[in-house]
Amino acid sequence: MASIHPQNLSAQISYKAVGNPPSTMPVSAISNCNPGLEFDFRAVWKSLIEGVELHEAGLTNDGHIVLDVDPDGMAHAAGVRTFDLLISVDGNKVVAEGDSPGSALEFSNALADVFDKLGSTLPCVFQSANDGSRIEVSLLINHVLDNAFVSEALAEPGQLTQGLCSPWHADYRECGCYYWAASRPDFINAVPVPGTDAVQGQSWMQRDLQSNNRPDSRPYPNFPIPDPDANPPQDEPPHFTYQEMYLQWEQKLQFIRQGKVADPQ
Amino acid sequence: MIDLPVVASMSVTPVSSEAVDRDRPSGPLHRDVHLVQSELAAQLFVVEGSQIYDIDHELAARIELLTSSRSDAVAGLLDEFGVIRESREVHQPLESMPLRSLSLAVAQKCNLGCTYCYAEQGDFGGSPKSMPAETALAAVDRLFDGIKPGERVHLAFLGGEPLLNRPVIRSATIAAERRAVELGVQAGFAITTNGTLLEPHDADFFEEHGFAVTVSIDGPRDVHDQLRPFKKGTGSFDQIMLRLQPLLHQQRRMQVSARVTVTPRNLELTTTLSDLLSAGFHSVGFSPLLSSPSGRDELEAATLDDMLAQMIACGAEFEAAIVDGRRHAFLNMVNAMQELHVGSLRPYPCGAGAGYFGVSADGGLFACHRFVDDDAAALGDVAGGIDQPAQTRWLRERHVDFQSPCRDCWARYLCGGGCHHEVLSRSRNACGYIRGWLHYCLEAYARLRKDRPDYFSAS
Repeated sequence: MASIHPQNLSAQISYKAVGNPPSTMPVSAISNCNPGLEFDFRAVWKSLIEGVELHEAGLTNDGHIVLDVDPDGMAHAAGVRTFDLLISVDGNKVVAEGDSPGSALEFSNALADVFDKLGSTLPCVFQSANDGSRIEVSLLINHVLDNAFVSEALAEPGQLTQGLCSPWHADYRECGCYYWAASRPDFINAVPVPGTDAVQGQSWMQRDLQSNNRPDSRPYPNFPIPDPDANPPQDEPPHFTYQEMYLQWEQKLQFIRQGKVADPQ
Repeated sequence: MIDLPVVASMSVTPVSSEAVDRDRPSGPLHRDVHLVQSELAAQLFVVEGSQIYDIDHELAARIELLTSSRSDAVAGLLDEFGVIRESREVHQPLESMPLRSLSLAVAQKCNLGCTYCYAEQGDFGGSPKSMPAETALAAVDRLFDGIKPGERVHLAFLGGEPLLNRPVIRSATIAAERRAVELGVQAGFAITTNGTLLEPHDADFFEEHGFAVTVSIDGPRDVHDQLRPFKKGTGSFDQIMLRLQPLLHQQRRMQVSARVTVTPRNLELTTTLSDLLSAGFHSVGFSPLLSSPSGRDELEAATLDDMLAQMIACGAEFEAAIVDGRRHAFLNMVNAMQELHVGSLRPYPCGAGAGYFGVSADGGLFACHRFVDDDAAALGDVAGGIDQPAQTRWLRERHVDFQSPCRDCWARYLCGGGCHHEVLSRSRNACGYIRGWLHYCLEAYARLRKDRPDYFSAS
């Protein structure tokens, strides 16, 4: 088998390795890093700090969950352990803001200051999961790129896409908020309100098709998390859940014809 | 000086006559790809995107076979191996470009009598003259016209010998610096001088304003004095080196570089390079003399071969230094390695007539410093700005895709078609030399990528 390896930066940008999908190329990617679409860039942030692995979805209002610690690294030597929380880097907090549920993009926003300091060794503050004590240790912030490639030290081949286990169901629901690329209607059963400029209707994934223009019509977050064993029983969530999309999409989704729920007949 | 192409300050002009390269490694000519092969390795240069790949000998053999046939067969093979070629924007000639870089011919006169000078001993074939201060200040105004914070401007002083009009250099520099601070713009300054009129206080001024100072020196004393004598006939070397000392010692923000014009009389480039680097220049670059108004001292096919061999010998010294972890300031190689690593695409050889213009002493805008007072490249004036239809016409006509025979040459987007001034005055007569040099640079790039990858990650 003949072999070819890109050398200079323009070749690295222009080379599509065998097996890679079009979404890995700048010229053919939508370049939407929201988890589930083309790749999950949080896989790179996980290993941004040397010797510590952060959870790709573990950003909370209190800090960022540490998933693993290199036993030979500086963090471990300083006492950082699995399930500790990373609180701040170089004095800037890396936590979810306010009452944010820790949405997927929050991770990137929380690290925005750190991206200006790649390659630097910066003071990192952790909170021990064991006794709540504060641990401060200076750690290297890894470079994200090796020339024009995502650094293999941060993400091995396959790691950027390994989280895309149920892509269409998740994307279909995730992009329920008037996303231009989604191939289905967002606002259905819309009718003008007589005598006004307003329109009333429903979100496509709203359970209750009797209520118009619900204030929670933006389809995510996926709260409350359904708990069939809850006592007393939970209120029914306003929208189809991810779980329902995975397991019952054929029953839950309806045909929309000319903007309206169509008669199954 | 401005937006140098890979062939950097060589200002050379290619001809893609296959005869030139037939028996050379830089041949055969193919418009899509070029192969660089040695016993140990093979490299593929892809013209679209200036991409460089390491390939094995099996793939090299397949490409070699296809390059002798139809070019779409090569395209199919590149597709098969995942080489994406999307650089459409490079094929579209620019319509216009804002003026952000000027060189002022502050003195169209000179105290030297170099036989080969494109400015014909300084006056561009006319009567000697100096640029009035108000013209220089109007040029500075033009430079900042419509500029936004964060942009960059570049102001250079050339001639003739610009230091014959020192007060205008200073007033224009100070005015430009003040405007740059007011507008939140970065300003860079440069001067190209023969060095004979430098005063110690010039070093202070150039250091204060961070000038890139280029001094024209053609080699060791004996050859330099033959090529660059005073008008009265005596040599200029000793005076230049004496007057340069304060600059060489003071350079921090300022960078003092040597520019060597190569003629058949000063082809000992390895000696010249080591002498000038030892003398303390920040960098040293070579440019072949391909066209002179008098026809004297031009390089021809045989002497260009000699120059290529000398350039490669200098390149070998550069490579050895980099492998040893030492800095080496052979400018042609420094630029070539950087441009090849990035994968520069140059539909034009330089910024002449695009963002860069030469201003004559009378305030005319010309495509560059070499075209001063040449009606064929007149593109407006500092009072009225760019003559837009003339600029659009220039950019369309000078695009390398519209140059013959460049459009079938693998090196066209590295070379950009060659110095406009030399091409228009003497046609393309050094293409074999350029391709030979670029072929060597591709080999050197592969070696350094293997031996010192850190050299490229650092840049």
